[in-house]
Order: sequence, then C-alpha cells, then structure tokens
Amino acid sequence: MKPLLAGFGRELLDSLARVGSLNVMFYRTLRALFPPRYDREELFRQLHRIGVRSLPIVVLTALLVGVIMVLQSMTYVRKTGATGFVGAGAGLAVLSELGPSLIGLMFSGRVGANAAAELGNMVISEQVEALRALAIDPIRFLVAPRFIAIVTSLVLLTVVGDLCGLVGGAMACHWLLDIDWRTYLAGLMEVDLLDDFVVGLCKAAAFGGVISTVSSNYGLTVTGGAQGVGRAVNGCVVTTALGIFIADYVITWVWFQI
Amino acid sequence: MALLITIGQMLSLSLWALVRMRLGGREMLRQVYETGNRSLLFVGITMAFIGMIGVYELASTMEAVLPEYSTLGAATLQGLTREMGPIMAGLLLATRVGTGMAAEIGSMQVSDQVDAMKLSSVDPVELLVLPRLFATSVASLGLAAVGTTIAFFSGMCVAWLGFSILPDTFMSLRFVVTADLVMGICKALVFGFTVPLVSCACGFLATGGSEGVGRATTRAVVLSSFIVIVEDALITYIGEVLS
Repeated sequence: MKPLLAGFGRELLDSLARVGSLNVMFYRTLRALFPPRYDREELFRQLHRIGVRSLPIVVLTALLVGVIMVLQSMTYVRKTGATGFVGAGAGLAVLSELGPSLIGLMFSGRVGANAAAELGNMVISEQVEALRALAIDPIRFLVAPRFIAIVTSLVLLTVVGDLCGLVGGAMACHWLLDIDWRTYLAGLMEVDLLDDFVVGLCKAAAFGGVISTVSSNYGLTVTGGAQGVGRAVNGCVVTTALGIFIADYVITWVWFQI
Repeated sequence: MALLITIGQMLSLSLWALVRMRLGGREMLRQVYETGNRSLLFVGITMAFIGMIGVYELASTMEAVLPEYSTLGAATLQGLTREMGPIMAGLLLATRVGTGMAAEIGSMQVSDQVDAMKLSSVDPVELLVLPRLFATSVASLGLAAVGTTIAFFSGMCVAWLGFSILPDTFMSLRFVVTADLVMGICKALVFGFTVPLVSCACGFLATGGSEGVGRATTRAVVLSSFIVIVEDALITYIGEVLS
C-alpha cells in the first residue's frame, strides 16, 4: 500500500510541477513577444520550415478525414433517412471539430516533437548555456520566433485543411458511395458554415499556443544525453495531445454558452 | 526505402512467429502491463474530453439539420463504437506508446546496444520487437474498449447537464449492430499491430547521437499517426463495401 501511495504522490507532484512550469513558459513567451524585437531572419526560416514543409501531411490528413466523416455520416443517413445529413454532418464536423483537432495532432507530431528534440539537443550540447553567457535570452531568441511561426502556420494550414476536408468528402460521395456530389454540396449549403469555420480557426490558434509552449518547455528542460531527448519528445507529444483536447473542450463549451 | 525494407522484415518475422505460436511469453505479459496500464490514465482522461466534445458537436449538427435530439444518444454510441473510439485510441496509442518505443530502441541503437545483441547472435527483432507487437495489439483492444466506454459516459453527463436529456433516453442501443462492433474491434487490433511495427522500425533506423534519437522519435509519431488515419479510412471503406 505504501509504495503505491508514494508512487501516486510522486506522479501527482511531478504533473503539478509540470503544469506550473508550462504556465511560466507561456507567460515568459508572451512577455518576450512585446516589444517585437526578434530575429526576422530566424522567424522567416521557422515559418518556411514549420508551415510550408508541413503542407503535404496536412493536406493528406484532411482529405482522409473528409472521406472518413462522409462514410460515417452515411451510416446515420441509412438509419434515419435524413439525406441532408451527408453534407451537413460531415461538413460541420470537419470544419469545427475534426479538421482542427486532427490537423493539430499531426502538426504536434511533425513540428512540436521536432522543436522539442531540437531545443533538447541545444541544451545537451550546452548551446543554450552559451547563449545565456552572451547575455542573449534563449526565450526571446529561440522560443518567441517558434511561437509566432507555429501559431500562424497552424491557423493557415487549418484553412487549407478545411477546404481539403470538404473536397475529400465530395470525392468520397462521388467515387466511393455513388451519390451525386451535388447532394453533398446542397446539404453543406443548408447550414450556416461560417460560425463553425471561425470557431475552428480559434481552436487552431489555441492548439498552436499549446504545441509551442509544451514543446519549448520539454525541450528546454531536457536532462541526460540521447535517452533524455527521447523521453522529452515522448512527454512532449503526450502532454500536447492532452492539452489539445482540454483546450478543445473549453473552447467548445464557451462557444455553446454564447 | 530503408524503412519499408525494415518494416517488411519485421512483418515477415512476426507472422512466422505467430504461425509457430511463439509470442514472447513472460516478456510479452510484461509489455502488456507497460503499454496498457501505463497509458490507461492518459487515454482515459483524453477520451473523457473527446466524449464531451463529441456530444456538443453532434448536438449542434442535429440542431441545424433536424431540430430534435431524440437520436443523440444512439448516434453517439454508434459513432463511438465504429469510428471515433478506435481512431482516437489509435492516435493516442501512437503518441504515447509509439514515441516511447522509438525513443527506447533509438537510444539502444545509437549507443550500439543493438549491434552488441547481433554480435552475441541474439536477433534484436525477436528480442525487442515481437513481444511489443503482440502486447500492443492486446493492450490496444483493451484501451479502445475502456476509452470508448469512458467517452460514452462523459458524453452522457454533458447531454444530461447541458441539453437536459435524461440518461435513460441517452443510453440507447438502437443504432448499434454487430457489424459496428466487429469493425471497432478490427480497427483497434490493426492499429495495435501497426503502431509498434512502424515505431520500432523508425527506432532501428536512428543514426548519430541524441539528434538521431530526436529525429527517429519525431518520424515515428508522424508516420504512425498518419498510418492510423489511412488504415481507418481503408477499413471503414471495406466495411461499407461488405455491408
């Protein structure tokens, strides 16, 4: 009984400490954004590496999500006969929920894990210490450009991804289900899509903040060689996934209260 | 390309082991504990949030298309069993377990422990990968089942408190047929088999110090999550054709 309680207590204290240091990291990143004095070249390099290079995986994911949602809403349509649901159900789900969250998850694997590994290697090879010795704030120099690049690219990639998801749904209707894609489009146009699109983009921005904060925090707190980097990346993606769904729930809930 | 070759080798070895019924014995049971039990809290919490989000979203869609909620519970349960439960559990498995395996095997590879195994004529695939493969398949099934149940009950709370739908009305098995259950189980098993396959292959291909481990881990999480989504679309389509 005693080791069980001790293990539980240690886990609880560790996770509370992690939540605290994540909040400190978020606050310090926001502080570093104003006044805007960061390296412009570094920012553009990060935007290219993070945004442009993630485009293929985001497009493919979004297309498949559209296909999956159309196939799933079809089972509901068969049971109730509400044909409008093919377009509306799939479209709303992609725009407001699955588009942002699944693109966010893929993006966290592609970019968040990468940033954690990169920063972790800098810590291990004492490059971060070197920056501090030169009186350069690592948060301002390394984290702030990544924060801006991650939030901007995730929002823009979600816009592209939403479109691809809707196209994927139309393709699934046409080729896989032999339904006229105009039925799908008509169902889609019946409902008000703008609200869901906007809430989807709000979610994407929040997920970007989560991904950037968590990955910088795990990256800058790496200890102990190659194994430490592996553990940091693992912890980073796990915490990001949890954070994404908690943020998602909070935004959905707030949206329903308005 | 090297990745495909490694995956192919592992796949053939593991199928051969499955034919001979040599699944790894005690090591496999230990891995079931490692992957299943250690991921339970993470999967449980995340699936609870997913269930609540899902009910909000489904309710808003139903409000827009057919302004009544009577089928909300039945549709939630059907969607969770067939689609959302397995795919979300699979993605969470890829993040939690896949990265862990890639990091572990990757750091063994860069510190030459894998080569040391080969020198002592121990097959690293048989020793490291096979127990993980079968263990994760078992654990994935359990995690998907537990996760789906948690998601359904958290969704029920939201429907009760947010939309005043009584649990009696919400808890309806009207839409779920055997085919949905079979599809959910197939998905969970397939995800549980491919996530460790891809992640271990990424770990074995790690080269060069701590940077290499970081790259291998990143690659593992991206590839295994993407493969989960692709397989989900494929299995859903196959189910669509068969029915």
